[in-house]
Amino acid sequence: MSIRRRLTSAAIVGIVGLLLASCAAGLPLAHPDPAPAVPPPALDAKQVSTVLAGLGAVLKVADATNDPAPLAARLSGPALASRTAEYLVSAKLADPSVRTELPVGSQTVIAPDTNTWPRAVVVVTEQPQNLQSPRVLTLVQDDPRSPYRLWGWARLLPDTKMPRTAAPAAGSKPLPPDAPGLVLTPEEVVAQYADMLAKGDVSTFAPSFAPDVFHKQIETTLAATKTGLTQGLGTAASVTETYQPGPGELYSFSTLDGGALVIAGMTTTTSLTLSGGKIEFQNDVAALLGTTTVSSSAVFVWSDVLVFSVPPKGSSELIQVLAAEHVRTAITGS
Amino acid sequence: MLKRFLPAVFVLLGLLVVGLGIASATLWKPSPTVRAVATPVDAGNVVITAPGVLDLVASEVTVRASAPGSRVVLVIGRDSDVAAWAAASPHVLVTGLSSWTRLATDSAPASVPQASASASAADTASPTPSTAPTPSTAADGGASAAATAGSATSAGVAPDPSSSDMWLVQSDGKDAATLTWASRPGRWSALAVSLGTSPTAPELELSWPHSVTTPWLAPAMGVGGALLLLGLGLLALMRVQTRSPALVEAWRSGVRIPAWIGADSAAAVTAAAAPSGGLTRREMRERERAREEAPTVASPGPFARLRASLVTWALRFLPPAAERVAVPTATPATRSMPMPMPMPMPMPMPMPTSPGPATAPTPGPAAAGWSRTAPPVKQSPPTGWSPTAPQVQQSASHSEQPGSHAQQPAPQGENSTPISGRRAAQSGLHAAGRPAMPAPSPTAPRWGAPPPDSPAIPLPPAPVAPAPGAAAHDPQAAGSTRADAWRRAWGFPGIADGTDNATEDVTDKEEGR
Repeated sequence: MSIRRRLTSAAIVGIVGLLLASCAAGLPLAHPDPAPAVPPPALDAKQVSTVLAGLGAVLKVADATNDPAPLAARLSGPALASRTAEYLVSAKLADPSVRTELPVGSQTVIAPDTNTWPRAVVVVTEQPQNLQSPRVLTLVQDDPRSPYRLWGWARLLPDTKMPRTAAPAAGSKPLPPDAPGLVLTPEEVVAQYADMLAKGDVSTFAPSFAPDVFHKQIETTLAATKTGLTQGLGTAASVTETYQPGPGELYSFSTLDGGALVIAGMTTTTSLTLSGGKIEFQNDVAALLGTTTVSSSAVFVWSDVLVFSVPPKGSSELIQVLAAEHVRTAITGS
Repeated sequence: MLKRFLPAVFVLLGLLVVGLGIASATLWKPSPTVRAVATPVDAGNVVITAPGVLDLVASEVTVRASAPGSRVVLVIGRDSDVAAWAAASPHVLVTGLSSWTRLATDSAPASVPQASASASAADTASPTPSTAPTPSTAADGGASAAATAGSATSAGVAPDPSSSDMWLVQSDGKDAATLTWASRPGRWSALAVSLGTSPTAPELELSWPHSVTTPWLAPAMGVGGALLLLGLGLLALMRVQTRSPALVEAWRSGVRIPAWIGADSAAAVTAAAAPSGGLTRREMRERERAREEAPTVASPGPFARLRASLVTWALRFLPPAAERVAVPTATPATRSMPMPMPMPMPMPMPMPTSPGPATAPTPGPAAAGWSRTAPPVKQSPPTGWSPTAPQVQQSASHSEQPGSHAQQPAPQGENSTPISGRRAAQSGLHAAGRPAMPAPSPTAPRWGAPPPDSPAIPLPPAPVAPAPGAAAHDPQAAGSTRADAWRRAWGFPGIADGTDNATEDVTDKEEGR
């Protein structure tokens, strides 16, 4: 009998135990994935598409009326300045073709592996409908609460090839302006290229750079201007051109070969000085200038965007300009 | 005394455990979602979650942010993006669970100078009206300044985050916003912002689907079932062993016989209570008297009906032999069923060749009946008893215990007498077990006595193979008469003399049920 009593009590204890056991369970703690040593890409492909779509929408609205007001939502820096100038000309000339066509479909995306701001995404677009070369768009987010804005665009130059970069899912490492491991640091690249543009082949830095179409065009344009002024005004007119890298306008990404893709802003200033006579401008220049003739001076301000491929240190390759844009943003004169 | 109640205790315990098990899988089944809420704290209009909070409980979470009267924007992005976005404003950080229904929160001041935050907000395409002018004095204002001074609070109001490109998913709505998020590799945070005239931090609610298991159901069913079986088995044994005449009388008085069965049946009931094998003349007289005294119009009292149904229900849990064999033969059959645990009381086994200690008294007729029964049954072992199966109300339950079925003939097969099949077993049990029963047997009506209107009764006993050996049971003419009347009452032809006793045997069972 006592055995049964024990059995009974054991059964009761067991039941109570069952009930109690079901109540005891600890609260889970947050166990996030460890923060990766290399931050993940700031944007995934879908987000890049969203950004580009937003840009496209803004451009479409602004293009419709040549109104630069909406542009601020998605454009900044050289791009904003260039587009604003293009709208001015386009409106005055009633010629939409003066605007640079900016496709928003992407061929290649370089997403930055970063946790900091500002951060930039580079997109190589599809070929525009006018069959010009694809654009290299640089979209920059200045701070956490800002959208990505098109900071600048550049046209791929003929006979160039983008360096191989990591897939957007992996992301590319952004490089600081003084990043080592390259034949030149990014800021040196821009400075020396500007020097080479100013001095031509006599620049000490000229051997570092492969010949490029942009340089040739700059030289050709400047030479043509000089020739024209000389023909018309003789020695009464002179023209100088300066090339100033934009401060802080430098975005660099490492490429798969250890080199870098360097995107830089630059301001080109073309100054005409007249000691006599006058210069009559037409069309787009007149539109920007606001008048047609100047008699003493004229200053052309160009907004430039340059895309360099910088080989890694020790490489025998030369720095190559992959893409460039040279847009007149302002003309002053009297 | 405890011995008396022990089976009931076991049954109750078994029912309790089974009930608890079922309740654990139904009533107390944990909610399929874990829902935890963070209520607004007076720190800006932003709530964010720390990395890892979104998949705290399950990989899929439903986030709901609500702020009545305000537009609510809810987004999910990388933890660093969310933290950086929120850093410009005082905000609430959800760090985990403080209980299964509450989220643990932490207040964070604006860590970035206010000016830059408002400047960036002003830069956005659609800045909210409240963010445009920002007092520069709030630039250095921490959480305390923001929390206390109303102007500082409004200065720290975060703008609409929905224009940002950093979010993976986002949702917004008036008063509340909801979105679901399936965990993916990486560190992710949710950000909820309420945008109103006087916005406060929205209430954040995280719900996770929770895979609910019922770990106690099976064990509880097993344990409870075992306890139940144990208790019922004990109960059955005690019915046999611990009966008192007073109970019997109380029971008898509760049993009534329907009119259409008539006095014969009443007599049979009485007869069934006694050992049908050895009626004395006095018993015969008593039967006659009982037949005359039996109420002609009656129905079973509610107590009897309940009792019978309870017993028949309980019999589901016993091996089929016990179910099939109607009392009084059920009594020995019940003893023969394998008990889950050894019982202290004597358990005479219904072995014809080696009767248990309590079965000793009358081996003679029993053995004779046994051996004579053998041959006809032997020729049809499995089917020999199947025709009688419908006599039992719980025929459906037979299939539930095929194992028990198989066991039943087995002990018979071990015997020296080559008998198998139920009929043989019954008669054998009948004979062997009867002497063990103290007379008068109270179990007869108790175990049997189904409601007379029960559908099980109308089944004819005819298919049962007549056991000539059964004649040894009762040579008395009374039994024959009674059985004949029984048969006639059921619309069967009268019985030939040679089968009288066998039929009576069956009739006993019928009546006894």
